[in-house]
Amino acid sequence: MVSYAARRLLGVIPVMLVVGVFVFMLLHLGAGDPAALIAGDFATPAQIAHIHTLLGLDQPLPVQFGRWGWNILHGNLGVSVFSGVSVVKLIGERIWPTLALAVSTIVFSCALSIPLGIFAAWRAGTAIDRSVMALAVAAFSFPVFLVGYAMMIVLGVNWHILPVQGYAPLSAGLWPFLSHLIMPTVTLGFVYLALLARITRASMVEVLSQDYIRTARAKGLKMRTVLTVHALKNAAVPIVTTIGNGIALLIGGAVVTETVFAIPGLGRLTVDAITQHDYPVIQGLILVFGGVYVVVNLLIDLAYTLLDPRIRY
Amino acid sequence: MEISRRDGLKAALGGAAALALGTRTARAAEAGGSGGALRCSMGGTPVFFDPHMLASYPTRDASYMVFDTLFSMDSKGNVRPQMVEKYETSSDSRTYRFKLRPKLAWHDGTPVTGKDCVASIRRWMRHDGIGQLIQANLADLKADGDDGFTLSLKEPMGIIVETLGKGSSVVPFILRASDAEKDDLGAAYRPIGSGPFTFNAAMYQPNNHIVFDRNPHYVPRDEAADFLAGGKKVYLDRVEWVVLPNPSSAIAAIQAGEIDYIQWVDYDSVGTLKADKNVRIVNVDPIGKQGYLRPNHAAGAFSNPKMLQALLYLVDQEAFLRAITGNKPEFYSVCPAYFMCGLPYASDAGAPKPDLAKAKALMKEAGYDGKPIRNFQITNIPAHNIAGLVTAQLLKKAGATVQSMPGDIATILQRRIDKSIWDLQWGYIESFDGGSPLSNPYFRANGAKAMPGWPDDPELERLRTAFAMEVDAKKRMGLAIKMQQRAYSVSVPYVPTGQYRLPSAVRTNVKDVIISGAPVFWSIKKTA
Repeated sequence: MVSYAARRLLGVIPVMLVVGVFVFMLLHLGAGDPAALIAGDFATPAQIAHIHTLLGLDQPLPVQFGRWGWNILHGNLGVSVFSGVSVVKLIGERIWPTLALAVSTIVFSCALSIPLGIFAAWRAGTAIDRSVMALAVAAFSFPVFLVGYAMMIVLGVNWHILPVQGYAPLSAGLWPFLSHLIMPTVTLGFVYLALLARITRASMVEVLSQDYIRTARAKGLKMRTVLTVHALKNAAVPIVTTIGNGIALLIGGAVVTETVFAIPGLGRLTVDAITQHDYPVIQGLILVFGGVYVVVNLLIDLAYTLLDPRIRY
Repeated sequence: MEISRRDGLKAALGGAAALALGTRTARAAEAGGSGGALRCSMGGTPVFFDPHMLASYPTRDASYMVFDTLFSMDSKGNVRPQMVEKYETSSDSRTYRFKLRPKLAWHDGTPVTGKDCVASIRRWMRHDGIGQLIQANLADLKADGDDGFTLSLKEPMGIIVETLGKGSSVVPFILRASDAEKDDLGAAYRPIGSGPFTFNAAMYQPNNHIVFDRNPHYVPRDEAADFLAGGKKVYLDRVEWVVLPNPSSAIAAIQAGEIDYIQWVDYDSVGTLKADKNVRIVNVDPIGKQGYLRPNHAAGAFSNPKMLQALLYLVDQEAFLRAITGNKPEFYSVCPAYFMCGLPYASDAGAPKPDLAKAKALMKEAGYDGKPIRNFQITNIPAHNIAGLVTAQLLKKAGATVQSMPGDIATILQRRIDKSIWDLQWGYIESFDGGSPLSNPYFRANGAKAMPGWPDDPELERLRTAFAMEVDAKKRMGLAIKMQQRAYSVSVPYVPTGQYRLPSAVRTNVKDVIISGAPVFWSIKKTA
């Protein structure tokens, strides 16, 4: 397994190289000019050209790519053309709110969805099962911004229970940290709750129809033991896959939630960088996101071997 | 009496809080201030802090916090001394001597000197359109000891003081000589000025959070604040600019009391905020913004003068203004003046009235053959997007074929440099820039050197230079009228599409917000 993990990690290099070349070309050959945006509406072509020179954007593309690649090999993702702040520092500042949101969302959705899915599978075909699935469909169908604004108006504006925007780091205190996360977590968690509940139910229904489950029940085992020890472990592979993909998606893709709740995370950093054509930041972020996907998928694959001893690499 | 651990802890915390509060209150009282922090949702955030290099409004707004100006404009449009204590002009209007106020200091405590002013003015002149006019006429600019400087001209010029006090693009902010002597300050530059606030570099998060702290060493003028002029007395300990990317989130945040100020409220939310007893709508910029429809003179449909005339008659300002403001007349004014209604050079001279039939006739005379008119539409800014749609609709009403060219602002600012690909673009100018033939960059008609659109009319340029050199204020007004008549009859650098004002919102415990054209935060008090 160790050699498998090492091979997979080595395989990251060509993947990231392809991602890097693709992103670089996509950005630089597309329309839009950071210098024009920096210079503003009143800038003359001479001022824009001057900013091009300052930023090194007047150099041929291969030179720009070579310089970027060389810097990456030295652990330097470059500097934001807008703020002059290093991309590593920008990502370092923004990753914590995103990680906090991703973890809390996964914890919230797993804590509710897996029991709900198991329960629905156990009572498959009954009114309870149909109710759980109807709730899942509803949670999946509500747009994130709708749930977010509804909670914001009720819990923030009308009842003043929770803050409506922003992020407080853990260093500011446990309650400020948690209170800023509750609404975004629930908003974002609904989607994953619904998805995971459905996956869990489907997987459990299939496992519960297996002979060994009948045998376990015939032995007189408690239903709780049958469900959690015998069935859930065997149904866990698709659930773990969904959770893993969810984490990877949340790290790069919680843009709407971060925007609605003004959380200064990676999603907003990505959107800002794209709208400003801040090439080094976009390139750095995509490399980070690519790396996260690769690592998360590796961890998922390794988790399979723990859940199902038949799987070996 | 028995005291529990919890009571003891409470007492200790209470004591600490009282001590902290006392310290803060004492500090605020010493400054004559209310103390506290004002949290503001701004319409845009600066990305570069070089106040001379760029004309972007967020950079200007941040610069007003950190830097100071030699002169500044009051609410009547008069320019009054700010950093300058007194000045004198020679009888031939060629030599200006300026003496600085005492106790002016940089944020690091070192004094502001005449040398700083000279270096800053030289740098500003290189980057500003009017500055370049002055530079061309400059005989000498030198420091007079530590607290003054002298500016000498080759020919008399009437706009020196007015220009040193101009409010926008590019404001002649005064930098430290060590900064001003650098041509490029670069993206990593963090401003150190002599203004009423200091920039908190440690708390700066690009596109998210900008913090300005009260400058405890700032000595304001001993007079009331008026527009951008007067005493810049700071009563707050801190001003925080937060970026709330979604307008609805900003509305919820001010209603919940999490922020105190929204620079620009979207028109749809005005009713919601008016109904909230804890929030009030204010208008810090009573003049507003002037929309402009910029034709491309260098190529395409509007390189034909008859088509330019047709465009003048086609534009119905009401249509633009109603659409942009969501049909709220209290936030817009139809205004035929190129130099903006409510400002000194306003006039209706030469302005045509909308006339669709005449526009159609002129298009026919121009030989318009139905070739698509390429209309840039900036989609990521609401006013630009709506105005782009209105432009297309008006053209269609006149029988033209329209090709919309949508894109975000970064893309369109880049694409519009290419003369061959577009015909029209809508944008806006703030009152500081639109109010004078000198400060309005879109009024230039110097051909290839002009802003994209490239109008070319040597006579308009000649009038502009004469305006800059004219010493007599009445004659300058006459020249402004002549320029407007020329613009409407011949050059049509752009077609004004009316003035609109973007409302701001504050919590009701925020007092004394300055009507200033640009968002400034001195004078403001915040009560508990």
